[in-house]
Amino acid sequence: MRLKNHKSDFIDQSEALSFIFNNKSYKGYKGDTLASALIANDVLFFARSFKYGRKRGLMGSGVEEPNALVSLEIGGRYTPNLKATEVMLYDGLSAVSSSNPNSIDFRALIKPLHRFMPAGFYYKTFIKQKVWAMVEDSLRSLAGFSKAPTEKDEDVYDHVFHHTEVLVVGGGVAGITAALEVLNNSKTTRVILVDERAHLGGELFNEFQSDDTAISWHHDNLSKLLEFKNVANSRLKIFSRSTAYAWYDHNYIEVLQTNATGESLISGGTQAARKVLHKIRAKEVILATGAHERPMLFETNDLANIMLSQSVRRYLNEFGVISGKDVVLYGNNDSIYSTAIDINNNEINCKVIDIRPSGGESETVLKAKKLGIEVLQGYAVLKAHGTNLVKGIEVSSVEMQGKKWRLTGPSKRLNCDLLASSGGFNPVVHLDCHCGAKTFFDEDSQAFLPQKVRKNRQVCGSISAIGFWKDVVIDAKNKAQLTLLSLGEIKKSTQDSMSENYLDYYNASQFFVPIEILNRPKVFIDMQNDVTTLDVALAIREGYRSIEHIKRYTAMGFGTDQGKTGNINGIAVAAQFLDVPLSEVGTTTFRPAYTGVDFGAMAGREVGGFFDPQRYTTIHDSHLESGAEFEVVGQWYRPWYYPKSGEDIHQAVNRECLAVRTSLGMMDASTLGKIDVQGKDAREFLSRVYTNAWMKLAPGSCRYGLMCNEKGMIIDDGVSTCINDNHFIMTTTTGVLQAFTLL
Amino acid sequence: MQKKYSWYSLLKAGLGNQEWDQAIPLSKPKSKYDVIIIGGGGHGLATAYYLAKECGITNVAVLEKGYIGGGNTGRNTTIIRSNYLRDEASSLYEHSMRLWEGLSEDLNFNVMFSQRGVYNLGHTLQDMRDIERRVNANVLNGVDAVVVDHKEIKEQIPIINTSKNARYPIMGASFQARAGVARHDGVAWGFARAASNLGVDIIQNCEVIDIEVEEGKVKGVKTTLGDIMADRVGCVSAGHSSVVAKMAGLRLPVESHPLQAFVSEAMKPILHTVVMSNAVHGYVSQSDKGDLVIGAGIDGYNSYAQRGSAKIVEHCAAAILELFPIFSRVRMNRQWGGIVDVCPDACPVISPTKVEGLYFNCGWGTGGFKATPGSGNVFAHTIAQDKQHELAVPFHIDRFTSGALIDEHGAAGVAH
Amino acid sequence: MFLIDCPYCKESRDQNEFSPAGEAFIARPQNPEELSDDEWSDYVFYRTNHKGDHWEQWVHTNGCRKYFLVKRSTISHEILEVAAFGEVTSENPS
Ligand SMILES: Cc1cc2nc3c(=O)[nH]c(=O)nc-3n(C[C@H](O)[C@H](O)[C@H](O)COP(=O)(O)OP(=O)(O)OC[C@H]3O[C@@H](n4cnc5c(N)ncnc54)[C@H](O)[C@@H]3O)c2cc1C
Ligand SMILES: [Zn+2]
Repeated sequence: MRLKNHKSDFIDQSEALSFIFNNKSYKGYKGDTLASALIANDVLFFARSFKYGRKRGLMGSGVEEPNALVSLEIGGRYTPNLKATEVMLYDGLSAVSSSNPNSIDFRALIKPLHRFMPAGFYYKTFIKQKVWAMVEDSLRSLAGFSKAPTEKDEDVYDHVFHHTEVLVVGGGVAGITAALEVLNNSKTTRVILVDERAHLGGELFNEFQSDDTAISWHHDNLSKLLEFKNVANSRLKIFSRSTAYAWYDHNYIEVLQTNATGESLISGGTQAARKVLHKIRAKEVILATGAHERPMLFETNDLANIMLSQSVRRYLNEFGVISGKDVVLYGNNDSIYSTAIDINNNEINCKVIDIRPSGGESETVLKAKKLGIEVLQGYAVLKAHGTNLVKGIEVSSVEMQGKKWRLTGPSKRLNCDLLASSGGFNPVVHLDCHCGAKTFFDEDSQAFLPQKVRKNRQVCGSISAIGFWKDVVIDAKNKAQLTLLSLGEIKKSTQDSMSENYLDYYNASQFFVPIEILNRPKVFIDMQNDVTTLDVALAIREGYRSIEHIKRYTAMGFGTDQGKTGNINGIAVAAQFLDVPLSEVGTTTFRPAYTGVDFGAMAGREVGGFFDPQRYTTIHDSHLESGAEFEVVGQWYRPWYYPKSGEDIHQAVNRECLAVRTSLGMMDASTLGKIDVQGKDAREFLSRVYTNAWMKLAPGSCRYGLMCNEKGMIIDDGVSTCINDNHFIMTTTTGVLQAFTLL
Repeated sequence: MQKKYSWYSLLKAGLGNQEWDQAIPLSKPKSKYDVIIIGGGGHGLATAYYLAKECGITNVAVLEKGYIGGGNTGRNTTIIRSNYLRDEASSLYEHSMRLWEGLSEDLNFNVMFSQRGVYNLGHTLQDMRDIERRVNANVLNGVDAVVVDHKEIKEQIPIINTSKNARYPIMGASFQARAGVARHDGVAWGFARAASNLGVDIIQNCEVIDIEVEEGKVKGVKTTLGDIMADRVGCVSAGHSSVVAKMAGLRLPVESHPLQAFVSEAMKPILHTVVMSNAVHGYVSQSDKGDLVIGAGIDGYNSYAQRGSAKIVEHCAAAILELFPIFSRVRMNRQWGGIVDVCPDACPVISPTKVEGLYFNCGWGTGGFKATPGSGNVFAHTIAQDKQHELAVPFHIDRFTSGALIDEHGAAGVAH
Repeated sequence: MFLIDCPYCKESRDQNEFSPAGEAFIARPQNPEELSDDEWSDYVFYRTNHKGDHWEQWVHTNGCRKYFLVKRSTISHEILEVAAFGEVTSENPS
């Protein structure tokens, strides 16, 4: 539902948009994402899961979303597999679930059989080749999310190249601060600031409800940025809805800017690019990419309306929408209290269940209690109740024994219609790791953090587990100072200290839950691929102990969300079952793309006629006049034969042969490669390229030879002519010419 | 003995009446083996399996520096075919193809070998001449192959772009019906499970750091888990072959290059066969999970970094759109690279070396996955008998001295 | 995607402009006729294929078209040194 009195900076209630989802019409507002608009319309089911066909709702609010996969539009704008959370609403939008949650689904029908289909099922079945050949195609028809497109894309894509001194990835508090710090302290340094969201500010908007200084900070700093941007020859470029998705060697970073997802871009004879791929070479990179929340684990944690706490908070604060009236927040860190406070401020019922025991509470916790929010400390959620939709939960008291949680009390049931959880935060280290950097496991934040020092790169803000926004400002300034130092813009860097408890925000003590819970069925780690804790346990028992094997055996993290919410939990689950520290399990390799990249955007304009240059001879037009059919040789178009009407190739060629025999023929060999070889070692050079002898070829003569490459393999043949002892003209075949010039 | 995989065992396990055995048991290295295999990729594991199964040598260790199948085996685009041009090569790949056809059953592990056919497209007259020549050679060698024209291609693959106005219009293709794809991890695991079932030790996280050679004979290896003795050592370390060779004081005629691939997000199946094109530099199939699996070209520089250049991948995406314009709004989900060891003639080395008891199986470059069972099979016999298996004879390393190269650039080339 | 300093153009340019041209410092034997088959084969076909800091040749294909020397790590891809032919490098073979 949409809150009546909510004031949002994003939603423009004056501009209503209508859209269609699964054949039903709805209304939303400008500024909504498809996801927020659907929440506002009380739509709770978005799609079905991959393996078991379970009905799923939203879990997240951004690129981490695993469940809500939809396709947009039809025909030349049909787009598969979009996350409802990444689609900005536009008027007339039409979306369909990747697999319809409201119709009957074969995978869901065979539910009683699911227990016989554990991870690795297919390796153990259909072992006879003939049988496999028979069943594979029918199994195959169950695969995939959205349907594939069937028509040619009506849109175009651009590539843009940039050189910059500094690239700042992430436009939250950290990114904004770092960009400004660099700009303020140098007269010449160029800065590019990119953010995947539509607005700069990142998670700061969540503070707006309770902290007026956050509002003024945001306002002031954004105007400062605009001052830098809105001048002639600005040193600052800002790209929003732009995701840095890959980091290649030598600080070469690719950023995909989305101008449209499914809306038409053709208007009045012009056509803007649907997406722009920015190819950025930066001297220095500042990563301010933040962190993704990870969910807590419990039985049937995949029911609809079980979401991430931070996402619930974001939907509430940014979009003024929420999908429940009776909310439970569950987690192991203080962020759930912040969400609870915001929910409570909107006069919605909520409780907090904190797995941590009471004692030593932070200000946030105390504040929540003071507001009268019901808090259960030292409790874990065992299970969610409800068919498809969460109706209640089962909780039990827990205690830390040694280094492990244990269940202590009998369980009891609580009712709720929305459960939001937080198991801590996973810093967005993906980009940093694409090109060889490592992560390390930090016990305090219970997170894999980016490697501390890396040449020409700084990290700041949540990516290094710094959470209070005022501390982030200090951290970002400090890091930007280091960037300036590295660029030689300043001689000495100023480093200010953060607040005493700057690490508390992300302090998740022990993010894990009692193993008794992990041993229950249907504790989902990877929602999209239906990977459960028991799948991981099974993989390990079968000897697939490396995290890479576990991933591959269970398919954990292979989805379109790339395991953003699931992977680290999966690693933690593996650590529990292997009984080793998390750091020992390690992460799987982070690879591009951080989020999906359209093939069209990868190719840019190099499609169709621009795929490869087309080369014509000077007499091409006369070939055309003579009705030539052309043969493609390398990049060249050469006349193949000249059919007169009614003639086939053989008749035409016979006529041509006869003409040559009886009168005259002319062949245009100008498409051959021509290499002018000059100098005193010209003969010796030819002798080394060709397999035959060239030392005695007389001026004015020519000779045919075979050419070898450095590795002794024949690469081409051709004729070379001796002009004089120090001058030869070498030819290559038309087809190989290109290889010669590319080498 | 491990429990067999069957419907019955699945049922029992599902009802909770049975626990599965470890497919890849955790083993500690012994101090001595009859044969040590360096490299737990598909080829190394297959070698160990056939040593145990066909040569009666079960006191074998496979030493893998990371996790098994984590090299090129787990990174490749899994195209399997045997339509190579030269007699020597096509016999070897065809031997492998026959093994593939019974492999799941032999290993009691479904490696999901899927004979969905492979089209090698031709876009120019020269391509078509080469294709005809290759198909003729294949037929003479008993390899199934036919030439098809663009109309037939369009019938079989309605979504392909056969427009005459394409920059490189599709003129025809060679088609091998028995060709296809398999599940790469499954191949590594299937061989590992079957080999350990016969007594082979599979030792992971064990890097060979030196090879002990005394008076021209191999004595054993030094590893990160200690010294291990063996009179016979088979090196099957793909991208790292030169590094391993150096440990024994040898050089090889190979260079290591990045080779990249990428997959799209999973969609409902629409492409049911494998399509390859050398001319535009790209090839694609759709997996049983629904993602498009796409292979790009090789990077020209040497590297051990398991990553390559963006331009290669982007050019490949453009190539795929030339063939399938409808994929423009499909998204790349993940990309990666492997380290491929390339021989000058694009053919492998399966050979003894100047060091007695030291054998090399390398140089498979961009296309060795398809050879996994065949390569392991002939290499096992080569090691066991200290004499090259008949099919391996042409692949002796001495061919680079004698000049009897087997030029497969046409059929192997960029593609796989 | 490398950023390569061309020693002739004296500019840092994107890898797109260059082509790799194999291992460096492979001297062509002065006396091919006198070599044994093994020696000749070693020259033509065998390579060091070094894992680590590696000298190689590149050519500025879409630039000055000249060949030059690059010392690059084949593990991290970091470029440590570039030199024109004839220039003294940290490791010119004698
Ligand atoms: C992107 C890509 C796409 C490809 N596509 C295809 C295709 O479609 N079809 C096809 O047929 N082929 C393809 N190939 C090629 C194919 O993957 C390889 O030829 C084949 O997998 C090689 O198998 P292998 O077992 O020899 O090597 P690998 O699987 O690489 O195994 C070698 C193993 O040796 C280990 N090792 C190395 N050094 C040491 C040491 N010192 N101590 C211990 N262990 C060590 C490595 O860790 C590795 O696991 C592709 C390759 C790539 C990279
Ligand atoms: Zn130059």
